[in-house]
Amino acid sequence: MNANITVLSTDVLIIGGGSAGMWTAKMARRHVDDVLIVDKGPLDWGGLCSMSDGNFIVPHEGENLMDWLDDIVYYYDGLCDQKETLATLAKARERFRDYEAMGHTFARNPDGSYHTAPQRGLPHIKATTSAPLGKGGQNMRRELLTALKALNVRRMGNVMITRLIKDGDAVSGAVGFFTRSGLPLIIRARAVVLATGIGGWKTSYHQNSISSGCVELALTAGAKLRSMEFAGIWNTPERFAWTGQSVLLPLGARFLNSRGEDFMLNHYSPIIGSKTDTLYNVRAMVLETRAGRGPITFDVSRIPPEGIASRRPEAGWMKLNDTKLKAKGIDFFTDTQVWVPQIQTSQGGVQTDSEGATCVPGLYAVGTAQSHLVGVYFGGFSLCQAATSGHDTGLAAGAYASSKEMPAFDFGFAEKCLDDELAHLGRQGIMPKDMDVTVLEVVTASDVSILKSAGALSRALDRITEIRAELIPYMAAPDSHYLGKLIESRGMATLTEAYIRSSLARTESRAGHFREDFPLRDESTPPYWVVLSMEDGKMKTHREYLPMDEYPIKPTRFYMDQFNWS
Amino acid sequence: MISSIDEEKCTGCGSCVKTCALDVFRLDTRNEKIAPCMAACPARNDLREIHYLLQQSRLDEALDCLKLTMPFPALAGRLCRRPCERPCSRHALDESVNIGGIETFLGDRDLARALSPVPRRHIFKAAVIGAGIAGLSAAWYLTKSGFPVTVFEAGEKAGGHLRSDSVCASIIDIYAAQLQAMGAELRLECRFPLTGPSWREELEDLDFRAIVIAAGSELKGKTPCGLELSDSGRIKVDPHTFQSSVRTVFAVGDAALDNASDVLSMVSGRRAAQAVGNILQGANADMGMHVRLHTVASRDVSGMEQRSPHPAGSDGSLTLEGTLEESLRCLTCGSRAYIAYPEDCMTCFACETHCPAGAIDVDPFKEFHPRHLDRRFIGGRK
Repeated sequence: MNANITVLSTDVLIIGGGSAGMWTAKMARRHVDDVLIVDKGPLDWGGLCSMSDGNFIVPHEGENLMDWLDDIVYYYDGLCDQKETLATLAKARERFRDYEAMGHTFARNPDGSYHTAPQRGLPHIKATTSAPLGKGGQNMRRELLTALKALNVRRMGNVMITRLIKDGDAVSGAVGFFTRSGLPLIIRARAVVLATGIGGWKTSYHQNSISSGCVELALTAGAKLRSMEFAGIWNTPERFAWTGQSVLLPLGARFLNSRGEDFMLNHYSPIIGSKTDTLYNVRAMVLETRAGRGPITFDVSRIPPEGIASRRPEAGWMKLNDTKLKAKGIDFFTDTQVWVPQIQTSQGGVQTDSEGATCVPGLYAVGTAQSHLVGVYFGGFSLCQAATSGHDTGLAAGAYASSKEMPAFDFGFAEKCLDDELAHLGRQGIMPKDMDVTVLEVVTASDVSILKSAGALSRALDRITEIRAELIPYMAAPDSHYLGKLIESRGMATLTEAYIRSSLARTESRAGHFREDFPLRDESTPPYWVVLSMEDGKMKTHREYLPMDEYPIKPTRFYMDQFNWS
Repeated sequence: MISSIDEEKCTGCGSCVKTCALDVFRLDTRNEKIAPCMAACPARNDLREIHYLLQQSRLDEALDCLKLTMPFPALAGRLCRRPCERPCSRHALDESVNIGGIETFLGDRDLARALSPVPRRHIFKAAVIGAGIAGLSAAWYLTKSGFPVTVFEAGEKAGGHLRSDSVCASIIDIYAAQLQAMGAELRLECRFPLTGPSWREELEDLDFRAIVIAAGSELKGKTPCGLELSDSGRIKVDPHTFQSSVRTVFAVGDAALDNASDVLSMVSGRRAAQAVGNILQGANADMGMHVRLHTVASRDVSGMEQRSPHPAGSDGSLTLEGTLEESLRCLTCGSRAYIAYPEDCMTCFACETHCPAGAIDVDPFKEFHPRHLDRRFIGGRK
């Protein structure tokens, strides 16, 4: 074997060191001694958890879980795995207590109760906020890291995994490379956990997505993806980032068209106006722009002075942002800003059972790499779900690994996979940034990702197929940094094809998915998932119906019905 | 997007390199001012560069860099009393970097390397008398430079006094084998009669044009014929070149030094090898060998984040991931950060909020990405 290849061996390999990966590692150690986390970002950076505010969805004592589930079924327009969601809510209480036991501070009201923030105009769902403001995610990262160090969990940064290796049907490890040296790496493992996030399109709101996720890893290993037609679409000032719109809107902020009209309240959303998921606001932004009433601006003039005073950033990156914008002559609270939609992350994910197991023996997925969301979001759910799924998947993957001998490992195949990938190094060709933009141009067309239609999706499918066949093979990586970026770009193109194919397969509108050619729910069938897998090297989709008979709530009311898109 | 780094303010601690999730930054470690650890290192290992290479997982390059000044890191990591760790800037912050543990890890990687013969670049041969670590060090650097070298060792095996330690003995055996694989000749159980009247002539008859005496303390008081002695009865040498009173004869290790540490013995071998190379090419022994005066980079650690040491094994050893983590604790004192991959910045401000020196400026305007509403594309608007 090539002497340059570093060969490691572990019981449980976890790909991704965000909060889901850290929870998985913590619990896997109950069953096995040797757990290894690798992350393509810097060592211990903590993934998107470290950039979050640390808000956490948890029903406290006295809250009725069924009320919360009812909110979610309503918000998701019936497209909710009710068993799984109910279990998540119940376990959220345990994980919340775990965080407190690790020393985490959640915010309290003057009367001692937990401080919570209502979400998306829903009656029951509330996120419990962390204290101090702006530090919650960093604190969670530190607390989890302390726990992992005490358990001697092995951790490595700047390692990119490029391919999962199998022994027969079961996973036996992975190959990858160090992103700053290009040194190849083989990791043998009894179980492998995808804790990568599912990825997205590398646009940035206030948080980074370094991720291209695990779409290629999962598909090449034979796992299935679910709900890939759903994406998180945010809106943002055109030139800079600003966080906190969900707080500013209730204080009196509004989206206005070029005629100065509050188009959400006046027309599209007469009940809750723009106090909803960004996805519904951006739908209206597109319709207004198409009708010649763009650009869309964010109006803060009705926020009272005490409201502005409470929201003027006082710390962290937002303080820097505010100060620097003012130096450029931009005051967020006195000027009117043009806002635009921005697609961020895929919300589909790897199909798993309730313990994170995929259809590939020994391969697990956790956190946002799992499929849970349907295009609409409430704050704090990803951190909650990372903790609950990380906890249970860690136990399951650890138990699986402890019951197995180390699988045989096909070094020849692994080496060939590495050779193929490292062959990009030092080559001349198309650079990753150009490819990112090219792929983004496909998916940011408003009729591909916001008001979808068969015609636009078909054209986009042709384009992404062309990109994958005729541009991707000519990509290059002058050094190993760019090799990492190349693989992310390629993953983004693969993710985009999965997004478009799944969008074509859902011939109705529901939750975060809107089809102009099918603007209503398909009431002729039970709700279904769109599941995507690789067959003979091609992506195929099929429907899997939700077992509504087994669910406690039979949906009769739907969040989408309060909007008017005609 | 990332705008600039103020070179005057940047201390090179690498906070940006260690925290940027998009991998935008790199360090320039070249600086006239050396790091405090390097100033304390008897071998003057380029620890700043070695640690920075490890921070990038460039394992073999880090080892190659260490080998420029330290021939046998697997021994040095275990034997050195680590004066480098005392002035480590991190000491003021939490705990010094485990520099010795890192060196031992690299040393063990060194032992596992398969070495191929070094192409012969020179015609004139050198003899090394004594295969303790001083002699082996001289032989290693001479061989590496392409000189034909023969080592004469009276004992059954190489290693000198270190053979009394079983771990060191087994390491020496590997290094001796590597030296032979590189092309050096090792003649064991071959006592060279240094005290005889005509030892130099005998060596010259064998076509050796330079001689490095590394025969240890046993020569003390027994003058090899024709060489001047120091006050303490050892062979008198120039402190920089280890050249004796005879131009072609050098002495290293305990043969020349009082109370030489193992590390200093290796250093003397390295320096003598360089001087031998000089004279074998007709130059003065000290060509290019004067120790440059140096200044030491600042040890200011205000505002820097704590990072606890990676726990070492019971024998002080570090694993691969432990070594990589420990290297990230190094503040690479005296380096300068630069923006290596500006197009990958996503304007998260993490570098600027983490920079303890306040040297980084991020522009709040973000990159032009294609946006929805079909109106905002790259280059679409100033």
